[in-house]
Amino acid sequence: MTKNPQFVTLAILAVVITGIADGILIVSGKEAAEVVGGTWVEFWAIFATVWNLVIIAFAKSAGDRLLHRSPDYYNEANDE
Amino acid sequence: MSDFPPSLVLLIGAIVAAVAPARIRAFVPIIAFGFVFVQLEWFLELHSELEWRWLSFVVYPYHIDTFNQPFADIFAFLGIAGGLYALHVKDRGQHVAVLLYGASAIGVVLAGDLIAVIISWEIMAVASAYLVLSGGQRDSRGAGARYLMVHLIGGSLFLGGILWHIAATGSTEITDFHNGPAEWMMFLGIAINVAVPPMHAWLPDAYPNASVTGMVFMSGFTTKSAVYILARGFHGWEVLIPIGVFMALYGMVYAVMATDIRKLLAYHIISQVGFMVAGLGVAGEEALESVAAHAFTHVAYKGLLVMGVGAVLYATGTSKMTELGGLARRMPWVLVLYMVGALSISAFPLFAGFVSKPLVIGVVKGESEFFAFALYIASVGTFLHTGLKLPYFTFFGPARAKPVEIIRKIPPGMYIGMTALAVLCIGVGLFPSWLYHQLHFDVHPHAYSVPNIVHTLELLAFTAIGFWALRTWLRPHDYTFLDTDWFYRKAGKPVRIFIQQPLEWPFTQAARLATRVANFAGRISLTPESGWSRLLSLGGEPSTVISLLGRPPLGAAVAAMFVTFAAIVLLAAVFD
Repeated sequence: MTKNPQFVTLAILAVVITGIADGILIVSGKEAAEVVGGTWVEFWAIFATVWNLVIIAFAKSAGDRLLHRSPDYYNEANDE
Repeated sequence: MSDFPPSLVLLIGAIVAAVAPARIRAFVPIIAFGFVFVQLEWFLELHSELEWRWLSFVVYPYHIDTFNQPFADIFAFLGIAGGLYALHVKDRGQHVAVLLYGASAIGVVLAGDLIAVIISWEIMAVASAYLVLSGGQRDSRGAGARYLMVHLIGGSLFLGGILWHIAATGSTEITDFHNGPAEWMMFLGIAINVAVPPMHAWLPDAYPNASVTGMVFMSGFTTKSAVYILARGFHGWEVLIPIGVFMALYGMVYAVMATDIRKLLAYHIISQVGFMVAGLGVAGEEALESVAAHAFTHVAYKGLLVMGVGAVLYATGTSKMTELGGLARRMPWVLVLYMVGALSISAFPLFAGFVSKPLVIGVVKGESEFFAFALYIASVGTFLHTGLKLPYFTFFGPARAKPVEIIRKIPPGMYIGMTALAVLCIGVGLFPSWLYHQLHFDVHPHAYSVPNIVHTLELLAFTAIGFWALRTWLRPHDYTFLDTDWFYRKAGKPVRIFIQQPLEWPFTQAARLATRVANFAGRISLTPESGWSRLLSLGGEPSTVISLLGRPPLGAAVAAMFVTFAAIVLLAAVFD
């Protein structure tokens, strides 16, 4: 996982900006609950971060453990 | 022009392309699809139809209404853009196949009854198979064979279901079907073309093995024409919601794993079509409209994405992410145009997907919040692999000791074709009312609400942050991965020995006989390179048609058809 200071600063800035944007929506009354929790501050930021992590981890672990084969797997199988 | 079937225009175009000299052949698809587009937009009136009598049936080769016109429109537009993209192609067969494919795809969506649908459906399978067989990739021939086999099984199931349905109801109308065995058989046949897992593996197997230009047409025609039939006949079947959501997630996960850029996009077609299928599970006019909107935009941006990766393959000779990287400076316009497609598919504001995808998620949410959540997860994955992983490892990526070699210059036609679709993607994103008008919406949805924009940007921004943090986990490696095609690819040897070879025997003998006749004709001809010898043989080899008959896929395909028809007869006997 990257620990580049510029990246970390940028990520923190994104959290702040989206938090403010969500806050403005709630205060102005424009926020509409698209799904349960949709009106919480940073809901979509957390949603994207968590599911991003889950998707990448699942794809990597399922791929490495179960699904990956050598590039010539099917050709080898046909030559048997 | 006002009552001439659009498919017939393209069929005539196919004949012209078959005989036209090389210098004008490549323009025929552009002209033919252009003619059809003009015809659809300005000459064929809504609710017009053509009636033909065939045996005891009345067949409607076309019936235009508010729902099928946009499908035909976008198919014709993709045909024009794809034709421009393929201007450099010299292969006569590919031009003919593209026109036949377009004729049949437009034939399916404009068909006014089930008989007209199934005729176009079967032609579509064969014409598109040619684009895979002529792909020029290492596994094109094998993938084309498997593609043909799967689609002939699907076509047989669909045909069997149609015949059963007609026998039971006496109706050939494509209308909301009730939940019976004949209708389920039709559904299974259509589900193969829609690429519903586990019957989806033909798509990521065949599309990356198709020709660079062929995949552009394939990305738009086959699955979307099947979605159209699903919408006509099966709209409101609640089972479609979980099926569609499963497709969206399944295709997304496999796309994240993919290391071949064309395979990645092929898996992602399954994911996006999943959104449409899920939307069709919801009853009501709003659901139909949202699916039509998403199908329309999807044809545009997926065509653009496929063109982008096709240009990379054309220029570098490889589509493996393990061999690519650092192309941004050398192919900047390809990157820009690709990113227009990527931002569109990721539903970024001001791009096409933003005005269609939320509509589908919205109608699904009305039925089930759980499934709507799952579609949001699929949206995160979409941006992750198509908008971030693919461009990063293809155009940027870790430094390589040896830069990727550019073996061919990208022809201007490729750029023009991509630009046409990019303009459409941006145009639809900027002016959604145009799209809703084109789709004949009664009420125009308000896509650009402030919360919608803020939430979408939040979702995409944090997906990008997550990708950057974890990008080393996604670094591509050279491997293949298992999918459900394992079952029939591993079964290759028994199928070859017990089914394919015995069934191929007559075709092999026919090919041998044809070779002898051709050789004989060559000997008796006064000029060996002209006349009968030229007609019957190509340089001493049997003619293309005859040699195609002797190709391995046909044996397996015939076997599959026999087995399917036997199953249909048995089923019919049981239920009667």
